[in-house]
Amino acid sequence: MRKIVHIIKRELIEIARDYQSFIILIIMPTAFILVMSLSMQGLFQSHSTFKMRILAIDLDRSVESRALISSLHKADAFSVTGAPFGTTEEAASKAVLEGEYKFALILKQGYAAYARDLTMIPREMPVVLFVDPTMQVPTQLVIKHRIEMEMTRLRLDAFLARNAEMLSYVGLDRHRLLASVSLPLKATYVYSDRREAIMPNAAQQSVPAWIVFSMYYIVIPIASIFFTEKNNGTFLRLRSIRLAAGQIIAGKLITYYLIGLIQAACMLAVGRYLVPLLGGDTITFGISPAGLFIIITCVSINAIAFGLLVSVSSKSMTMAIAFGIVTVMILAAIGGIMVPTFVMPHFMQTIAPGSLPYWGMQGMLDIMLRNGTIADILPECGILLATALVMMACAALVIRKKKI
Amino acid sequence: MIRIEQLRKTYDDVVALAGIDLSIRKGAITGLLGPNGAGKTTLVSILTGILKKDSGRVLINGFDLDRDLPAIKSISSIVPQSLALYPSLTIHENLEFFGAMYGYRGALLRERISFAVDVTSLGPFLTKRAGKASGGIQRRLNLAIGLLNDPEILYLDEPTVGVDAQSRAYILEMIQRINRDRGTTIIYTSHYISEIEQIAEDVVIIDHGAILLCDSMENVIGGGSGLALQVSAPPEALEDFPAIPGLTRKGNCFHLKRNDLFYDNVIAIMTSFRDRGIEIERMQINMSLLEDVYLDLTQRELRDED
Repeated sequence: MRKIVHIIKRELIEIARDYQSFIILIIMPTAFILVMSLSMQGLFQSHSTFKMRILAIDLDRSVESRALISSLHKADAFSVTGAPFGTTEEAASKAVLEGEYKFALILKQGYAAYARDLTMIPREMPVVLFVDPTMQVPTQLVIKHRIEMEMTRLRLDAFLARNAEMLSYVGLDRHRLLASVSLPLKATYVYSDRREAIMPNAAQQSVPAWIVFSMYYIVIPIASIFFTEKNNGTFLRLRSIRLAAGQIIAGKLITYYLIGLIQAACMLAVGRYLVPLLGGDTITFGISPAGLFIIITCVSINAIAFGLLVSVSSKSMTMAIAFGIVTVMILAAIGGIMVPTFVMPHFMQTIAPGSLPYWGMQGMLDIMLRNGTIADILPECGILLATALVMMACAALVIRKKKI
Repeated sequence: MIRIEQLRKTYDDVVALAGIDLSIRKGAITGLLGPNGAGKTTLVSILTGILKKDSGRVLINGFDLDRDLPAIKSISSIVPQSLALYPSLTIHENLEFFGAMYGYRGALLRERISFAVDVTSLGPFLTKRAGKASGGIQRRLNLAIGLLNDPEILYLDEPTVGVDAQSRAYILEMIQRINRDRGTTIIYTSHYISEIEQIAEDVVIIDHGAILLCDSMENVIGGGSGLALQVSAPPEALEDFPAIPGLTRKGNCFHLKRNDLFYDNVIAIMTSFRDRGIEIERMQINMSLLEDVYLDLTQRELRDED
């Protein structure tokens, strides 16, 4: 045990004194979390303070067209800019093409007639929405549906106004009727502890995933140190001493595990304290600190086993690092870290559980987002530890076969 | 003493050691020579327990490699060709770490470090980061780490590669001192044949996994190497000839050994000849070089490793 402690001490001194390792292991993941949390706030949020800018061109210049633009302007999700008189469709198209606006709404002549008559099915829609093709599809759908909803509401209102007397005759209040069909759907968030619904924020949804993603980059220092020790002879020297291979490996694994914990702690601290200071949403750690510690431990062990297997299987440090980085990115993409699995095609959703980070992310979300406890993460922990054992066994076989 | 019998090792289809027999004297410096891929590293790796042999028997100072590997590891040490140390640790931290790996602690660890530092004269550099030390100091640290367990057998693989002439001379002198003062058996591998010639008492030449030569340096480079002088002089002039280091006489023939072929000795001989009226009839310098022997045995074609 004493020898293992010395190995851990030596590894930590080395890392602490090597500013490049320190940057790769601690600074870069925390900076990554910071950047991703702040920049991707809008991706998950329907309650964002960010307003999508829409250029509105009113070619109809009617009461109805002005009512629609006004209604959209009041909506939380939009910031509608009315185009000056005389602005053409071509000009709107150009504004979108040049990235000035992501959306341009054109209300053509004839919109008023369409708005007034709920039964009208025009040959050509008097409303056109120009969309910047770089806009993400979910965002496009949100904007499109919101405009459609406003149009429908105004058309219904016009219809009800026209038939107000008839409605009154049958005992229906027009405003009450309109209000009843416009009632918003209330989302109730389901948490393990059944506490009052709290709306999850972007950081809460994205930080756990990016923590898991970053932890797998432990493959870089593992490969780097593995090949350095192999090439400079220290590995050989240690093996020539009365030192069991298990002691050398245990010392390294414990060190990397400690680094994984430090990494995770730094990233959580950034998500909790720094992101809100810079205008982002803060995160909560859930209701089970022990559960959080356990799932981070399991992710760390899995990531270390992955790094070890990649290192011993590669012919050079460059190859190990390149292969490790690309593999982590692919696994993260498959596992739903980069793109939520629910927006993936069915096939991709089916294979997502085949990705190691998927289980880490699910465990982290169980604890941090769904307020789960240790019992909730047992399946994820089991899979992470079992796959880690398999990878370590494979690494041991490769070491034996390659006589490293 | 190291006794090797029918030692064999193969890597897949490649025969690294083809059933070699070899004896290495206890307390001697033995030079191990061979081209790239000859089997030197495999041999040393097996002797230090890093590699497993396929077959054969190895006895090291009475310990059987198959049964007593821990004991063998505790009495031997390897200094690899590469700088097997941690650059970001100080020289003292490196020694402390490897000392701890040997299982030393407390006063014993401090004593072992002190010993290794004294032998390699690393005292003034202990707080310096190993990676920032000069090549010569790094080489000495590499050697110092190998001395921490005060080994009975020390395997040195190219210990002077990449250092300047002064550092090389210092390291060679240090190795001789370790051998002389502590009776350490030293197996010395180098591509600098002159180094082997300078410090080794025995020489082993290995190629294609077979031992081509195993003999004393004296026998290999020939006892006749040096300066041979045939003189004409009355017998009484040759009597009471002054003793000069390395000089022997048989009748009218003098021989100054190669290792004593220094300017001062030659001048002393010539002065004695002049004072005694001795005339030189024939003078010849015989130089049998280890390099010639080595190249003759291993052939002269290039040996590029695959």
